[in-house]
Amino acid sequence: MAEKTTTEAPAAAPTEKPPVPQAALPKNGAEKPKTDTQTYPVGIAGVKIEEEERKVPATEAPPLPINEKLAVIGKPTPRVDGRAKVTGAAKYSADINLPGMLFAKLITSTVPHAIIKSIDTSAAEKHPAFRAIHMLDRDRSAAQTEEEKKDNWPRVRYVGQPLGAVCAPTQAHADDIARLVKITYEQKPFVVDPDKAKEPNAPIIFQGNAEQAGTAGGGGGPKDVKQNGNVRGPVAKGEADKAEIAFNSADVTVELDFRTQVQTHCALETHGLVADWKPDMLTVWASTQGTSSVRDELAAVFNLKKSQVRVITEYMGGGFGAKFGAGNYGVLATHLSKKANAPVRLMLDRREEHLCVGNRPSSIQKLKIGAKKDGTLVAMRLQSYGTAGVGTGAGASGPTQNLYTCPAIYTEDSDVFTNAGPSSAFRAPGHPQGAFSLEQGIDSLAEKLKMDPLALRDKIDDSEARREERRIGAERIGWKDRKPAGSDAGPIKRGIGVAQAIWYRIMNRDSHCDVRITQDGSVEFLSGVQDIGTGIRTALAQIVAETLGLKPTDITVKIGDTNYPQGPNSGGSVTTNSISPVARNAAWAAREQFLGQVAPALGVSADELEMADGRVFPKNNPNQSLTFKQAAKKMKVEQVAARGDRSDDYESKKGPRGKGAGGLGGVQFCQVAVDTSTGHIKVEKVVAVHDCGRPINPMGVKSQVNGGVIQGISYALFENRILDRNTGVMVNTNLEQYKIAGSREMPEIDAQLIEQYWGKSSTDAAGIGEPATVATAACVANAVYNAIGVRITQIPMTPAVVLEALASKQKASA
Amino acid sequence: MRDFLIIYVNGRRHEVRGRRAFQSLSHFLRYDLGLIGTKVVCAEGDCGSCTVFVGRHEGDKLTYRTVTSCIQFLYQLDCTHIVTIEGLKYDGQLNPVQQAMVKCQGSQCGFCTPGIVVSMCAMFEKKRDVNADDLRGALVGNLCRCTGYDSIVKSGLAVDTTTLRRLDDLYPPDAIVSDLIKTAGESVRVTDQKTFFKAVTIDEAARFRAENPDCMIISGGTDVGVQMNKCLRDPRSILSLAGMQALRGIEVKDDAIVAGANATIAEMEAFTRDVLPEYSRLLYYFGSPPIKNAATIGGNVGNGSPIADSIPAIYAMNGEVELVGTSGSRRVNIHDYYTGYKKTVQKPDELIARVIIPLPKAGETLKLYKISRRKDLDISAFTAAIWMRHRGNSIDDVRIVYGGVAANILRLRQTEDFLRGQAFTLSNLQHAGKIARSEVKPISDVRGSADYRLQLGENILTKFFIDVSGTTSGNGNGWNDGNGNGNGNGHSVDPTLEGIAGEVH
Repeated sequence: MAEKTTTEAPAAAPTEKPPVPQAALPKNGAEKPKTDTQTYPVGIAGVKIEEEERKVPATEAPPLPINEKLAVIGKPTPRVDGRAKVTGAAKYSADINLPGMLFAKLITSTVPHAIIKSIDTSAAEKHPAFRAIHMLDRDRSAAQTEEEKKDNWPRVRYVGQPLGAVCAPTQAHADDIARLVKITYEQKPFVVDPDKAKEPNAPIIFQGNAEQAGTAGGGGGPKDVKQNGNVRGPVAKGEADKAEIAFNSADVTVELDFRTQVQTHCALETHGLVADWKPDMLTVWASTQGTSSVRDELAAVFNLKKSQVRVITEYMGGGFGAKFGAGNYGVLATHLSKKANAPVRLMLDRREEHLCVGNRPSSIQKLKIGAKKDGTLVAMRLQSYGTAGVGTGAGASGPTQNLYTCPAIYTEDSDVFTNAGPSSAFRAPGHPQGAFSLEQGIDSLAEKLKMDPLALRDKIDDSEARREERRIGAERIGWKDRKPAGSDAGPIKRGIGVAQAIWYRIMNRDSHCDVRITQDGSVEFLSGVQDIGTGIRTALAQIVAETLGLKPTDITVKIGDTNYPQGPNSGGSVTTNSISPVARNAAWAAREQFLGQVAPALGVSADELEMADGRVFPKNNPNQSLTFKQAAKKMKVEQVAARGDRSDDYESKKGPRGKGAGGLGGVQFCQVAVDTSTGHIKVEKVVAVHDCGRPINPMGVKSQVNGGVIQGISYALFENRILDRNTGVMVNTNLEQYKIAGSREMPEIDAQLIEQYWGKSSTDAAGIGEPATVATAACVANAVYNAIGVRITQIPMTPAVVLEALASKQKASA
Repeated sequence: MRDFLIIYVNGRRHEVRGRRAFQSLSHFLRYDLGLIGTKVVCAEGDCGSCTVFVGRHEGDKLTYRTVTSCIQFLYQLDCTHIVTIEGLKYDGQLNPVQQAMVKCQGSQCGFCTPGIVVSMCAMFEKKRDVNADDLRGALVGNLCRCTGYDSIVKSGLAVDTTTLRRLDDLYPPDAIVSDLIKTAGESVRVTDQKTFFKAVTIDEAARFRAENPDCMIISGGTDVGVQMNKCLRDPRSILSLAGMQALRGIEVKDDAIVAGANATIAEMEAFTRDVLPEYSRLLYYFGSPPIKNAATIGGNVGNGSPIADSIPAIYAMNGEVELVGTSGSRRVNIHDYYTGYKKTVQKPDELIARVIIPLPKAGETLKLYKISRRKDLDISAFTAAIWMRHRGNSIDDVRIVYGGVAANILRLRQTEDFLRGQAFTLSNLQHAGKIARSEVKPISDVRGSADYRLQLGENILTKFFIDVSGTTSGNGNGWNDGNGNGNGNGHSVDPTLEGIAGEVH
């Protein structure tokens, strides 16, 4: 690995080191970019950067040099909304309290599988505090069949399914009134265990083909998949025959079974919103990852113009994939607001949050890998079943399909319907599950081949980013001192492990913004895009500041409101990739207008002006400068404004799909200590080396990497939705029995970033939220194997699971 | 007698009347006062997002402790000063903790941030020179789903401690205290469909209890608060003992710890650090700081959960419960106190006044165990307390107490009978483990399977031997020190430990 660090001198970068950031842009930087050919840095900073030409639309801002040549972008920047957050002033949707606002409470099912025979609301309606009730005609978050769309009431398919809601002047009254609604059920047999649900005589959950809407929490698997009993699938990719033939040519094969559990999102702010229905306008304060997704769904349901629905998300307390669309709660709150003629707040409680607004599906995976003696992969096959409850999309084959070079890959993904809450998108859907199997499989293969796990990955992984990430991580974790598996003496055994991530460079062209500069020197950025906690607000301020030679705190970022230009929804790590080039383009266009306005005052033409360090000055005479504020006063109009749009990704050399240039990487290493007397695993250190194209704010990116790591550790060791198979009831609908990692479970986390440039957009930035959590559980499992010499193929790796694995090893060796 | 509550919030005095007096503190802050920085996430005291300071006057001082405001009700908080996240700025500017949290990116989505800032400020109230472990400990009750805690801990380490000011500096106590001293001696009764009574003396509390035998007694409220939020309980009458001076205080008297029922777990942990370190160590893992600041020893004993962490030690030390009623007081041995699942011998007019825990003497050992899926902030799957008196190398007397294996805390009489008079050896303890296994009847629940508990019931006696003797050799010639300060975790003992718990399913 070490010899691979051929580093091109920075001279190879597209520009000489500039005295001020903008001055040294390629020649056309100062001119209107009429030409459609531009030169972009491509490669990994510190390894190799080359210049490549791209044909780009004329409206694009000129190329940026690599981060070390920039003033604001790429510099660690404290979040611009930090003050609001640390003082408690930041107002989340849960904090909205309007005059006359009513509080709503869901009415949820108490049985796991039933047809509703009758609903008696009379007692509820007699309650003095009763204001309105609305019952749903269907479960908007779950899959459903064509046939049942005609029903008056939803089919009940799990305990805790939303059926309706009531509202009252206080939450306590609403809670009381909701309990007064009497529902008569015709109960049907049910099944919550996916192994049982797969059996031919299991109770059938959907009579007929069932589909989950794409807006349902961002979830929903592929459409039009064949269904047999409760099994929906398989969705096959690749050629089964080809893989079987290829396995015959393998020198070595490994076959392993894996199981992963259902994980719930546990965002601290629950799902919910405040809906304020007025005859000409519906205004909604929603805790959402997609302001426009809420607007669109409510407009459709209530037959409104999209211009009549305004959705606001100023601050948002976490979503992790589950918060898209209006949801059952949003539709209910809007109905209640309309009926009661008052604003209605419907925020779920913690129990409802666990039950009815999404989760990461479980998986039961069978993996086979075949390789030549030198490690070259010849075939891989993955068969995966998972339950998304009454939802779809439990596939786990992403990593097997996309991570490594292999000529014959065959995968089958099947959903198993169970009487449990529907899944939704959850931080890298399918990938932590898929990496848990694949990366343990690759480690097993390395052991069988007597190869170092990193050397094997060097052989079979063609991603330049991950190659560099392995090199950096190996050095920082102390890989060379790694001991043979299970070789520690004493009851506490330590081990080191590695696992890799893959995610995709996805973007949404429906991403727009305005940048305005006003005579008083204020600069505004406006877009519907929402900050779900990741820090896009700060990144956008940085990009505008860089372009205008200002500081991030000089920029007022107004986002999270559908009154502003359409922004992208935040899912799939698309946000930065989608909106940051838009911000750059708009800021550049605003800059050109601004300089055109102020140039006469400086007695030069606009293209002779430069902006840096808060000043505007002629390039050839930096001493004759105005502060930005002084310059703004010289504008002949009160305000200049420019619109930014997302062009398609620039054309560039494409590697094989998902491999190398097309995808995002990430390699994680960790050290664990396993107490073999109690079965407790302690993750002591994690080195997480990641790439996200051009990092805009390394501070924000590293914070997201840390967050991905802790969710991964929590997934690997603690979290588990537990359903009582006798009643269908989830027994740990809280944060006491549903464990998420706390401060003392956290290891030392060493987050490292590489800068990788593709020349794909005017910022060349991509996302980090998803890749950061893909590898962690697999990494912990590989480290546990290195510690105790027993491969644990199921999560969560609780003390009981670890002790059982140790015992079975002892039995086997006895 | 007053018919309203007096509660200061961020230096301002509020009188709370009628139905509003029955609200939770978090609801009062968010909706009556518009202080939205206090977030409600779990409504069970598990996540810390609603953490605030409660100041109670002790003499002429205000002593501040953090609590989770979602499971504190206003009737527990008469004559207190609440300080919220909004009240922590210094003259409108960010305080050093807030500055560090901004500078070091201690916040991501930010929903947990106010609670984290409050917990961190509370830590700095007590201690200025802190390390990463102190920070992790102080934040053990604050869940964050975004940052990975790393940046939060780094923020804590980056705090400019030279510019920190104490709450007494931000809120000069004199004016508040002089008002509270005047009013704290008044009992309070509010009726609005329901009734609550805040008693000042044990006498009037006992009288109220006698008149309202079904009343819910509340002090710290960490258990009943959760039940009420889950709508599992909706009492018509409530007797609040919170803050009652007569039930406070901890002392050592006649070789026993005598703790007032209102002594908090945090106070017990601090007090026993020197006199009964084994108990203090256990209480360290009892819960998060806000929970330990609210929960009381009297409440833990009176609630009588079979997995209560504080109780097995009282059994093992043959402790007593002092009850006070309208007709005087009496002491009941802990073994006679419980009569069934959460049932006791307490009469309708009686209250727990004190809990008495005899201290181990020379030649006696006490070891306490709390087994949960993870170390921190977890309700036990299994607890054990083992007291042993040895003469030479033999066991003179022993008491073995398990929690989480039956409807009540269980004394293992047959196992004790076997061990009494036996040599203190590994093989004898292992054999005792087999007897223990046959003596317990655990159930499977979300915290652990019956098999897992059976195995723990057997293994724990071996662990006791290793902890006390510091060896796994069968000779057992090694009582470490008489006070149970064996090597504690058994981690560095011997590789043969590996198989001890190896057959758990």
